[in-house]
Amino acid sequence: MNRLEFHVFHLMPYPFIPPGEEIESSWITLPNTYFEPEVAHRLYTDNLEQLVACERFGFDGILVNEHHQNAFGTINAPNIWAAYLAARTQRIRIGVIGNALPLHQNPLRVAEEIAMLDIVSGGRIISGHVRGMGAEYHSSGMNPVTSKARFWEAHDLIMKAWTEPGPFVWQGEHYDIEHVNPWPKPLQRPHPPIWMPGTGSTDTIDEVAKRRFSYMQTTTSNWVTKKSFALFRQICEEKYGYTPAPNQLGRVVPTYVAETDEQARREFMPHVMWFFRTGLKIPMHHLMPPGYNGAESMLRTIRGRQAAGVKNFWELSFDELIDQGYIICGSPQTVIEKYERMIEEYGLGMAISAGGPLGSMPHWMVMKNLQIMAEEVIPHFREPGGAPVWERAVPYTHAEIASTYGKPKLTPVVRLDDGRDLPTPLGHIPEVAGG
Amino acid sequence: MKQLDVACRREGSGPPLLFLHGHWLAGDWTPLHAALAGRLDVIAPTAPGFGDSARPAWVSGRDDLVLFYRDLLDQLGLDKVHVAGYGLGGWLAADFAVWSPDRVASLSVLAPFGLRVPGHPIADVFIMNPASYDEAYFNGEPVEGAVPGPGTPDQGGPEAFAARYGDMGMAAALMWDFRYDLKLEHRLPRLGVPALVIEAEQDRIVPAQHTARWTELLDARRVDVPGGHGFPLAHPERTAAHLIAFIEGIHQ
Repeated sequence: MNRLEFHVFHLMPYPFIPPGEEIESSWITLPNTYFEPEVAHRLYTDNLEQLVACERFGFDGILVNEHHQNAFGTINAPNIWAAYLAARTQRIRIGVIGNALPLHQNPLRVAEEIAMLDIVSGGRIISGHVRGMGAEYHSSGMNPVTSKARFWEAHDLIMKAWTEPGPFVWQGEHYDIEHVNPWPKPLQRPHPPIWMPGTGSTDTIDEVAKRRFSYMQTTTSNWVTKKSFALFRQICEEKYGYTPAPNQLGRVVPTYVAETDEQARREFMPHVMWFFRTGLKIPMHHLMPPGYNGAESMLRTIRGRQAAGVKNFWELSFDELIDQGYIICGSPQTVIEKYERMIEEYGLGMAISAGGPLGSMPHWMVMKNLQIMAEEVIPHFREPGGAPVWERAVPYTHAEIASTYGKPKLTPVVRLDDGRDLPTPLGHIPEVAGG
Repeated sequence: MKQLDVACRREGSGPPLLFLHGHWLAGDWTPLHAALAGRLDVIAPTAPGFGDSARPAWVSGRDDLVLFYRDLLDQLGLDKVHVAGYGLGGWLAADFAVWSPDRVASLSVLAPFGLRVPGHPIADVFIMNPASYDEAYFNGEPVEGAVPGPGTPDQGGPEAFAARYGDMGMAAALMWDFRYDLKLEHRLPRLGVPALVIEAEQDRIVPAQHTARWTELLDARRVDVPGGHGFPLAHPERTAAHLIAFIEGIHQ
């Protein structure tokens, strides 16, 4: 088994805005007059090319996500991006990390779209389920107070729609659907892998551990990540009685690799600092709409951050970001050593944002990062031969499916006036159809 | 309270006044309450989910609070009261009057939320930067110690911050989905109770077009108090004087 999975995550930020120091927020209130569609056309096509290239480079997965009305991440409709990527690639895993379930009126729409993607991609989809950032409640009109309850109910409904025969009745607190019977269902059985991101809250970790899904720690320091992973393993073992698989523990840790440590710092620094100072400029009153969290949980968070001396993203220096482990930057050897330490100390199983784009990075630099990661870092963590996880994906050619699955269980027929059933695939050939 | 664990302060004597708080000042007995209690029997409950009042799972909307206030009057043995409310509380007072008209001697709304006036939306109190509260609520002349909304960890420490965040969360449960109820346009004119609208001279939260519309719909008397939306805090005596005069006028 490979010792570490490598996934490239694209937020697709729109960096052509004033610096963080001059704006209240990169979310909600930043006027969209800064958004130039012509510029975005180039940006989007570059961004998508970067993800498509990851297959040839040999990464394990390419990930997109859903964010709304901000410059930090401009993918509003990640399933559309996933469809594009599915068409442009053959075998690499494609993750939508994730769909923000409570922001959608009908969770079945997500169940259907992921199922469509999974089928058309040959079973390559990873389905991330998220609540959506607090800011997105300000800009969608959805109620932050009921968001957590809606999230879990939507999630449960989607899982049931994928795994239990329809039609069935869904009568929940937030969704009442008399006939749940989605066509299609996903190709992967019982369902695509589920990932859920978190920042380390015990509630989230517990729910993910309980369901044996993959937990993805979002951008945090080494200290917080280590604590979260230890908690995850402890809850799996003590409360649910199993040892988590390595790929249940993922971490978003933006990584840049170059020829030397110094060269990596030079190239990464401006784009990292744009990401943290401007892209992540999001004040508390945007991030935490009332009701998104409970008062007690808010109090715990504030006290925890104060006790640990956690700074806001935009207050961290480049050295602090590296020293505290928010990011990794260096020569191939340095990067390998840091990942080794994370495997050893935290049990890291999936490195996410491991190479590739961040912030305002130009296309050429992303490609350079991807290539050096692929050729000089990733092989170190792979089995001999260096194959990514998707080499073992489900069959996807017609020949393979015909060979392993066979024909459809039913043949379409037309019932003729004389009561005979005409099999439609052969119905136009009288000597075969009979008659 | 019928399985409800809520805080309620009652003080003063005179005609009974049920005073309903809005999205802030929820659990506080303010100088306005004290001034009113000089001439009225003031009943000031802290609604479920606010301050120290527990929130049962079934309390999720304004309709639940209307029932709660009716239970409260039953428990206190009060058949008919004057009802007043500030901001979101004004909206709740109107809802109460709509659904329990026989319990309402008069309706007073102070800078009320609840109507939609095209082109003049009420400010979004849920996204406001705490640094702008002094300007937004008090027009640059803040009242010492009065921090509406969620504040910051610097103002009152993490505990006060979290408590206000919790109050705002309950307010969001009551009015996030729609910041107005279009049905009030049809329901308020049916009430036929004596009504008073109190507005700020320069309200930066509730535009003057709102209090004007409430006045039309309720066929109400309209009076103003200097300052901004925080007028009940900034000018408690003047605010109380308007309410007392109106209520005592009904009893003469």
